[in-house]
Amino acid sequence: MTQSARLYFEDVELGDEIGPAIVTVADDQVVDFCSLWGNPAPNRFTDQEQAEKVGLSEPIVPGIMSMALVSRVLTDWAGAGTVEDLDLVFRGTIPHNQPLHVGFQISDTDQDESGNHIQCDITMTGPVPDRPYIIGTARLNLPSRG
Amino acid sequence: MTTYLDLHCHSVASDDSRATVEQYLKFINVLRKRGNTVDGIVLTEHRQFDFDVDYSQLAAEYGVLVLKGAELDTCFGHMLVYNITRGLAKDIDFGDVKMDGRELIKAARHHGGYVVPAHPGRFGIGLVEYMEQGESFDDVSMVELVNAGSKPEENERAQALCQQNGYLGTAGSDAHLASHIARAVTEFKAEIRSEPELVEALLSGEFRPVYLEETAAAPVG
Repeated sequence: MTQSARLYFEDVELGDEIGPAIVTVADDQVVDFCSLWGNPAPNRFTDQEQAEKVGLSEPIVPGIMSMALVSRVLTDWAGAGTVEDLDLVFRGTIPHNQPLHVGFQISDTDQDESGNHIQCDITMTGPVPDRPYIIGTARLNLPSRG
Repeated sequence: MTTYLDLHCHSVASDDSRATVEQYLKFINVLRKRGNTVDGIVLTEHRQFDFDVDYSQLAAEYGVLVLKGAELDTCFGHMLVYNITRGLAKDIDFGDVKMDGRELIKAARHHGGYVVPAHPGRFGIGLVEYMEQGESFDDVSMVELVNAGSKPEENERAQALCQQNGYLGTAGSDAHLASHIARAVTEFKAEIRSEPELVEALLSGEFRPVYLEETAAAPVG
């Protein structure tokens, strides 16, 4: 998946598959994110001992960082300012330093006075097609050629 | 007459699903345009059943059969219940996540319904786990052999369970997103138009689990 010059409503069809984009979250990125977020390290997201104290086998990627990651992949594809809604269900903990596969599939389209909308189903998995870490949907508003 | 039904899916009525029933039906028509055969779905919402909701208008609009069941939590894992009647709903508390699975199976049959243990090979919560702990289930004769939301090794455990016990196997997508609908379906050798006919077809044993790809060359009707 590469950055879109400009994506139009007419460019997508129900059922289209996009991606997967493959991203990896490194340890130092989580530390930086936690610092900006106001939850400085060490914590369960950055430190093995802190993670084990709350029953995790290892530090995990924060949920809010995963949402940011998915948002970025969406806007890289569709363009800035297009995401109207993002609704994710976390089904597993997301590890650091592992390839994360973020894929979309267009699951609905509609046009009304508020714009040209598409709904994408979202999955984030590890490298092996498996039960996803995240499922969810995003609603985007795209420009029309018309 | 052959009927391909997805026997396990969740709409937004289930708290962890993000697909409306209409989105499922729209997506099934996308699959049909790609050459797949999907005749209908059975909505199996978590821990609930709504007698009042009526999808017949949507079903007619999109040409897809929509039946209703439920996926209930029990002390022996999740169980899919088909042809739910008011009598069953009176005898069983669908919201009781620790209900006795054996009692559910008996009650469903008593009221004309049928129970199929869901994703039995799933680690931690599937029927296989309980059987390995020494539990036995005399009233089980079929399980969900293919669950498209399970890991391959979990479906392999379900396959082994069926082979060891002579169980029949159904299939369902366990979809929680529109694009996941019908990834696995059950192929019946009968026409099915209602929940009682679904139970009749299950009891006949004339069905098999298939993945969506296997429906591509299926004859229409």
